[in-house]
Amino acid sequence: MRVILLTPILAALAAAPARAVVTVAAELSRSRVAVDDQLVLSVTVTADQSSLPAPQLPPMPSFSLYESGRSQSLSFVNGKMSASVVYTYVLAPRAVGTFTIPPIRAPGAAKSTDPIDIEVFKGAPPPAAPAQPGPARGRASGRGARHPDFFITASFDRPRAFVNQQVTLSVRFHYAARLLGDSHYDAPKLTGFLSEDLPPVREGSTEIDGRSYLYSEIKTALFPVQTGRLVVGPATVRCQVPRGLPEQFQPDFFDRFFAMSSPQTLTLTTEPLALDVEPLPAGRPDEFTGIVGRITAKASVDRVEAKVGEAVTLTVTVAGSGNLKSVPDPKRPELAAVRFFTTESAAIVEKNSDRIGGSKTFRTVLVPRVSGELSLPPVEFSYFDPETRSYQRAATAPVVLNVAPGAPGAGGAVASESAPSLTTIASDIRYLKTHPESAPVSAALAAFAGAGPWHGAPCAVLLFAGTVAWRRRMRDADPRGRRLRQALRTASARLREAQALPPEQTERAAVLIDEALTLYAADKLGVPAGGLTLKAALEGFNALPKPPSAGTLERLKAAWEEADLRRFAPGAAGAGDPKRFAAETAALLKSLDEEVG
Amino acid sequence: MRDFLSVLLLGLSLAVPAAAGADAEQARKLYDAGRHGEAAQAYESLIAAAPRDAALHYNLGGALFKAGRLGRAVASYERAFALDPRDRDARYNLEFALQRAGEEFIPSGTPPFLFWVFTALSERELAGLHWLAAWAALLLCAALLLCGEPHREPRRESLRPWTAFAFAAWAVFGLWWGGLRAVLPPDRGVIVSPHAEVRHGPGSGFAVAFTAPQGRRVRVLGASGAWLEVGVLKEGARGWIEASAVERL
Repeated sequence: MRVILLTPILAALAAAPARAVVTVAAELSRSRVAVDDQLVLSVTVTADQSSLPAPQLPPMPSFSLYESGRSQSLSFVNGKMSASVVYTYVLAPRAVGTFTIPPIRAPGAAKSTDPIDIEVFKGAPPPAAPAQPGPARGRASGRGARHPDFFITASFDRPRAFVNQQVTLSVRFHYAARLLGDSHYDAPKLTGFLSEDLPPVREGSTEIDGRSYLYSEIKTALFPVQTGRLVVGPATVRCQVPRGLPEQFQPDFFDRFFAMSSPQTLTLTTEPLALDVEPLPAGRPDEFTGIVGRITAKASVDRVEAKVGEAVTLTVTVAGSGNLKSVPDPKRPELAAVRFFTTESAAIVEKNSDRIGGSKTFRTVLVPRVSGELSLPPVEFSYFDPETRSYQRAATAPVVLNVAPGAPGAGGAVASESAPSLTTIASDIRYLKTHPESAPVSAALAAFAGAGPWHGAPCAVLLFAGTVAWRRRMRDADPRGRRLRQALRTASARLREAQALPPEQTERAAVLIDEALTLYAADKLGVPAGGLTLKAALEGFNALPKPPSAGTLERLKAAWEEADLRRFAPGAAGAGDPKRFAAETAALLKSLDEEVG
Repeated sequence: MRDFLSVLLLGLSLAVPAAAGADAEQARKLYDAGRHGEAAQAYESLIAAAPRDAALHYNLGGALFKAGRLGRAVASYERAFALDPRDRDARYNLEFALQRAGEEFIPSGTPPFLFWVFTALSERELAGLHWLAAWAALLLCAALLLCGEPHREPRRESLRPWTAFAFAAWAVFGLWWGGLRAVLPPDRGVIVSPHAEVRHGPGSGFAVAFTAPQGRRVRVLGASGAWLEVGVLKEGARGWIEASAVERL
């Protein structure tokens, strides 16, 4: 900061040269910083023209960055103008590690800055350094006398401060003799501070040890951004005073006369001034962002009635004392029913009674996505009150919007920035089943599973089939026995067929009855049916272990002969009824079978 | 056989959802009006008449969930899921309710694909398929035995692959059914009291071992009077809890 005292700044901004030379430089307040601490990045843009371009900061995702201010200076050397602007930024680390600030460019600058490495370490900021001897009040004079004609002092309004708490630096230039020409003030180097001028320059008079002085006082608001003992460099005042002061060094009258008419330059400097900066106490809330002072917050919307898809501006204002320019954007509430757009902020700095304060306003455009009553929750800011030495919370009141359904396509005006997508508003269970789907297959399976004892049925079927198969196998294993057991059944089948024939088919009936007798005898005797004669049959039956009775054999003989007669000489046979004959034959075979077993 | 068909038709009539009646409509209106407790009572009455209606259990779960009775809602959704595991709505709501109770729908460490395949069929459906395959296998086997005569050999040959297939299906569904019964034992329950106290023994004189949140699924390991010994499936902890704090599935 460079201020010209007692002299208005000349409006001598000459036309820019044909080819301006722009340079940019960057400087960090320190290269190591705790993750909970802050540091200052100063970017100086210098050019030989009055209009200076702003630097272009690269993205620095590892830091929260906000602009703290800028100061501009002009100088004329040998008729050549030089201008520079110092942009001050505060960096708050977001993570631990070693990071690099990429090169910073400025439009028109031939060369960008070099990368700057920063080490962010975990832990508390370093404690304040042990106190060093030094005055809290600097004084210098042109001659070193006890009550000199000119001297300057520098002082703080408090010996200790918290990080980000305002400290007022007062530099007062006292003079008890006439000044010639302009006086120039060179501000001290303020490493580790953010500064804010507190105009105007105060003019006044005071009396020190019985001597009257006029004074000019410049005040600067400082906000320390790091802990420890911070030292403000010497402030300098250069003034033109009459040559020959004090009088005892100019005994000659002419000398004194010419001395009065030819001024000399007197340079006064203050001693370095130290300030102990304390870290903020433990117990900081999670949402605390470093605000030190006392603030209030309020929120409002430009309208409380809106439709889905219409833009509404939410304004959140933070007001109070402290460096409010450093208040970051408020955290947006997580509302799926609202789409938020970019937040724009503007700060108004007020400097009442040498205290920095004012307000910062955040304007966010939001678009309701669903209809109904929409409640925007309170926006909260956490800050540290240095007076009570405690963390406090400032919150806005909830803001309620009445959102009406939008017309079809009404939401597209704002929402068309990106491709439409499905937006989940809230999760919940699904609705009732009003028309349950029938599942007959599933129901049938479930019912079938509950059949209970009926599941034994296939086992019974399998048991029956196994029995049948076993019997069949036994039968197939003994063909002789099979013929014996089935002899009567085979013969009876033919006899029943003969009985069922109509009366005109007597020849067919005779054949069947004859076959029945022949087959029965063959099966019982175990001989082939073909060529079996009556004589062989009778001999065979008599040879059985259990032969039939003679009467039965006589009946067999008679029946056999009649059957042969009916079959081979139907004309010679009697006109007996074939059905009756078949019945008599069946009875005969049955009694025969019972006798032979 | 006529009696068996009657049983089958009766089962079908019970399984077909019966929520389309006037009572079901009244319950739905109560639900829509926000009278979720009364809607739950109406659905409970309907379930008493049709206990195997998956849709009614699903709707009861919804009413209980909205009424803030998370534990009982989980129990109802479990029943709906057991009766109709392919119902996507039942799966979704059960998973949603379990998340509220701090549980995972798919047990941790279980591949989701395996879980979905394993629970694709309900236990009743698996039992039905098991018995159906058993019937087919045994009857085809009987047919093979009855077709043992030489002139029926072609038919016997045609039955052989079907018989083998039926036996294979019987084995698969039998193992599946048995596995499901082993994994989902019948002595399961859900904690229905908010933050129920689980003690070291069956009585209020025993110290509280831990508290279990509402909706947490447990396995009932034993009983003593009005107390149940339960094992919390997710954490593996066990203890004794009042029987009224658990709804058995």
